[in-house]
Amino acid sequence: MTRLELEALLRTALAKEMDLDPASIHPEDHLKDLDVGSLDAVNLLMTLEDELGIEVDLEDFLELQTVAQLLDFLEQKLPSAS
Amino acid sequence: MTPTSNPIAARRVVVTSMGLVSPLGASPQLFWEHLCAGTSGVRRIEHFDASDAACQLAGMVPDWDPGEAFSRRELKSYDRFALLGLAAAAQAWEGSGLADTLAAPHTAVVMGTGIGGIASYTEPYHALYGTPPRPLNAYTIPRIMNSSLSAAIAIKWGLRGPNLTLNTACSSGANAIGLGFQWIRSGQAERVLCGGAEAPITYELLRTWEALGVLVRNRNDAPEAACRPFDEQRSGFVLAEGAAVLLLESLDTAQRRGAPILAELVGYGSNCDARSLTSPDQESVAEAMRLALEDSGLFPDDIDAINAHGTGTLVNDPIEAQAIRSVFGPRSERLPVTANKSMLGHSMGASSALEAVASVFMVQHQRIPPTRNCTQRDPKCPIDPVADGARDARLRAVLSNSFAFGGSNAVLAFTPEPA
Repeated sequence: MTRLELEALLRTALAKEMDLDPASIHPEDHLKDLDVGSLDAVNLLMTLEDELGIEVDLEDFLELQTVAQLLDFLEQKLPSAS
Repeated sequence: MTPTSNPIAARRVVVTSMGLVSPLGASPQLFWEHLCAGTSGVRRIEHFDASDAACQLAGMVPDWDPGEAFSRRELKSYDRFALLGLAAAAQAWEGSGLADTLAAPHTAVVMGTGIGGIASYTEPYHALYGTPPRPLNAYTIPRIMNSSLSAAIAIKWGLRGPNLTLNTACSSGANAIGLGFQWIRSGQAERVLCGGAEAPITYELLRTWEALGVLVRNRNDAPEAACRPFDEQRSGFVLAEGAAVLLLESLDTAQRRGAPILAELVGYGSNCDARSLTSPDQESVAEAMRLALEDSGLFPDDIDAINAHGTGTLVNDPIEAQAIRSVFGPRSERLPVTANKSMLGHSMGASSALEAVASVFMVQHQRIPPTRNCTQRDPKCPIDPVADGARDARLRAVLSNSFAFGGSNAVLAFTPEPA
């Protein structure tokens, strides 16, 4: 999966969870500004784990602050990154 | 009527604001107008396929879009029962003139619900056992919690006083109001937001109530004629949704701030049948009314009308009517007894809070709403069901009766604004 494909997948998942237009989500956006709370993060994490076939530690996940950081984090978790 | 002799009743308690969302409209005024007009709020269920249910009717809130009233986060966080309750609380609190004052941190909340976030409770079953299974939702647990409504009210307006949720099935709202009354009377709180909320109209719950044999039969083609408390042709109730919240304050506090006083809450009777989970007990129900009278310092002759529990089931109505007769004697045959559920359906833990709002309006406007559909009074119900339409009357005091599965009875006594 390319970074562009991963970004598209992440935008879609974030948009679905937060009821937003995917086009309105940008890498520099802070998750806090998108109103992502801890329960939203849990839902998002479950979706991403299912979609990407990865396992993510919730505490690590909750430390991420921006969409770009989330993208980097997921990219590292993907099998191709190892 | 005599002044109360109860030594703990030093502090008088008044209703200064109300909020409500019901099958008869999403404001107290609309509710009261429709109630007096004898309008039915019972409709065919359309938000899910109820075609294989024996009773396809319910009392549903019309023209109310939670999407317009709440933030995205609130919509995600709260089940429909809590959103209904929050909407009712918003009217009561924001209409009280206290919302932006220093009163908020000291305000208590006590809310009743019979079954809480039942719609959210069924979602994980569909997710887990559906084909294919769907992911679970992290919001499900907070949405299910019975206490989510009282918490939501506190969170929204920063109300840091005692915060409780009661569940005594169909008398939950009245017991919540009764507890709030006691908190103020005893000096534990200066003001309390109290009431009840319920959103039980799901396919699963409809069929489950059907299995219990208490829902209306053979009226799917005539929703408005379905609920018939005290009528010979009654066959049960229909499920309903709704919420009602009262702001109670001590009389002193209310007068000091110049708040409008809608009615005085003068007594609360609470007891338990201690006999059956599902069948009411006539003597116990009568005792609850006597307790409310004793608590308020009123005599039976002081009561000019009763807002009945009046479910329209075969079992409830004669027991309630005979209990009224045992308290009020032969006068019961002339005593106006109105059953709001004839128009609202039965909203379980919210019903008694809705009926408390109606009772406040009754003493405020000196008017008794009718019991709809009571065209042929059951001779086993020796009361005046106010069957011929709303009636103006001198109402010195009104009782609001609420009974419940589990046998938890609650009776509230209201009088007009103190002179």
